[in-house]
Amino acid sequence: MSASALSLDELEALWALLAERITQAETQSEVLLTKLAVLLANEVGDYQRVLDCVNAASKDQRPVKRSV
Amino acid sequence: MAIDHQSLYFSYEEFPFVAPPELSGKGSRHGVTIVGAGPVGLTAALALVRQGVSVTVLEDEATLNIGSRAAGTARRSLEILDSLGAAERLVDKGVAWTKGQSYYGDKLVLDFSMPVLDNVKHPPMVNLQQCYVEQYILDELSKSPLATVRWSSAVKAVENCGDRVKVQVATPDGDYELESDWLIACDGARSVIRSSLGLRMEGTSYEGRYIVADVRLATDLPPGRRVWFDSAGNPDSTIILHRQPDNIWRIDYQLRDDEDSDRELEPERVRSRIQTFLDSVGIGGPWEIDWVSLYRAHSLSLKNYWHGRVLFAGDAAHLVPIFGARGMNGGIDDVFNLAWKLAYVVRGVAPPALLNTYTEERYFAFQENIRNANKSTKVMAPPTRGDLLMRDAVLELAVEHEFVRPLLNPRQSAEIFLRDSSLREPGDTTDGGLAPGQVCPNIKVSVMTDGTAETRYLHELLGPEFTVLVQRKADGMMPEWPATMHGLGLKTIYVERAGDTPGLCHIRDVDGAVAQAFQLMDGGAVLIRPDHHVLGRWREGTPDVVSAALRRVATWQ
Repeated sequence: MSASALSLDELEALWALLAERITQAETQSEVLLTKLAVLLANEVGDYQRVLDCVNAASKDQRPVKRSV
Repeated sequence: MAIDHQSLYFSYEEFPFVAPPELSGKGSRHGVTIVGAGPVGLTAALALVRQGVSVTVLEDEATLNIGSRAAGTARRSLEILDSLGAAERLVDKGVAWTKGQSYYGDKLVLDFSMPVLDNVKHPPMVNLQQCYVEQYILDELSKSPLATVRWSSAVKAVENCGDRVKVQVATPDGDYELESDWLIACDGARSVIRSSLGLRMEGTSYEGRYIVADVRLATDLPPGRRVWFDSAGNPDSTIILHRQPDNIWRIDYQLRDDEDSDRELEPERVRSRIQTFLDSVGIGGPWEIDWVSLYRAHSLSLKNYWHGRVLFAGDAAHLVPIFGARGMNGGIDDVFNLAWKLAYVVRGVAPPALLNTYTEERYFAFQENIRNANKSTKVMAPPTRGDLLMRDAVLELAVEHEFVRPLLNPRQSAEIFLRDSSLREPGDTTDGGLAPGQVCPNIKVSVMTDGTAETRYLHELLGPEFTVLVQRKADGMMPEWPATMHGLGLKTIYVERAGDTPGLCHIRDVDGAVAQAFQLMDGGAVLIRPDHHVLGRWREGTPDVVSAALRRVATWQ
């Protein structure tokens, strides 16, 4: 899953597009992103690959918080 | 004006105010006046002096700028300052770096290297406090009888009056009016000249704020750019660490939206946050603060950098976010572009209309700079909720997924290809070699002197005016080229290949570097502008085609 299927220009364009739509969607952004995930899963058309992506996205990589 | 900053590493000289002739009613009209003795104003002055033009620099302070400020000098600026004779000490003193790491918490999410080219003179980036950069340029400028710097001379207003500009100047000994044929405004982000002419910059100002601190600290961390996102040293926010000379480290840390700028600038608060950061990354030992400031990102520009007899450069013309080091570097590039054009206008060898190409080319450069700086800003200070969510998602994915890591690349300042400049000559080549508008690379070449070869760098051979590189023909014929065309100086450099009869040309292209860079054929020619950009390249580089190109410059409409 590490190989890039998109060029850097495409990734940057995707960032700009999604950031704009998320900002516009305000409180509905979670629904927007969930709908997007379902649509993309259908486009991929391979349940195992979709499942791998869901598992990868579910990994919590946030730093462990310590007080300042 | 006393200097109220005691630097831990730099000896700030207090330059005396010298009463100018205008204060005793004896002033005469100046040719070119430059407002601002920061790195951009001083470079403008030095570049004009190198073109044989007298300059008067007005600076409201009595000393150089305090603090590290624009701490990164990019390769392109080093090339420019080198050609003006001011880069050697800068490179010797500065800390060259090519690598950087970014961490999400304590997890590495980006390890990047900037390309290092063996056959070019300068590293991609050198860290050096701005005061040193200013000092080195000023020292070089001070050697010229063509330059005068007036310290403690604050410009209060300017007025365009037909073929001149009137400048109101306040000094410790009173106010005076100065008249100048031309004025270059290098008076920074809060330009008085911009306000005085009623001009406004357009664009975007971002909410994200950074505290910028210089700290003296003895540590053996290697040079490089280190960034921590959401680390224990600054939770939910970002820190950037850069090494500078004299054991000074530049620490930039982002403030969260709910933090008050004034409170966070209090010395105790700054000390506490820096100590927390140093503890979090395992840097021990004593340290002390030299200088602290607050920074907010802007992407703003004037639409036109030429108004009457006033030309704008650097932060007075445009503001770009700090990320990627495009502020001072863009400004130095501005004035190197401007200096030769203005010198030609002052000397009467080109019409003022040539200055339109300054705005055209440097506004294009601003847009290129902003395109990259805004990408960096989305990572370093996400401007919208959507950008923040995207940035955080990319950080989380970058821990394990390489494909998103390039999105975190800081995109450091790089030379600008003036691909759409109307000054470009189309030429007759489409072979993928250096294109008109690109910067001539400062590659290593073998120079023939009295039959012996010596290694030099190409920019060292270029003249302060136009230079034509001519590839020797197979039959050894080398046509004579005139030293001037249409009043514009022209330096001719002949190039021969390693297999040619040696010693007839200036450059012996031993390793084929010139051929590779320029794709020169027998008798081909490249015309290089005084600011190192390629004006045109021809398969058959006759004096006639170069003459036509220079006539266009000398009669620019």
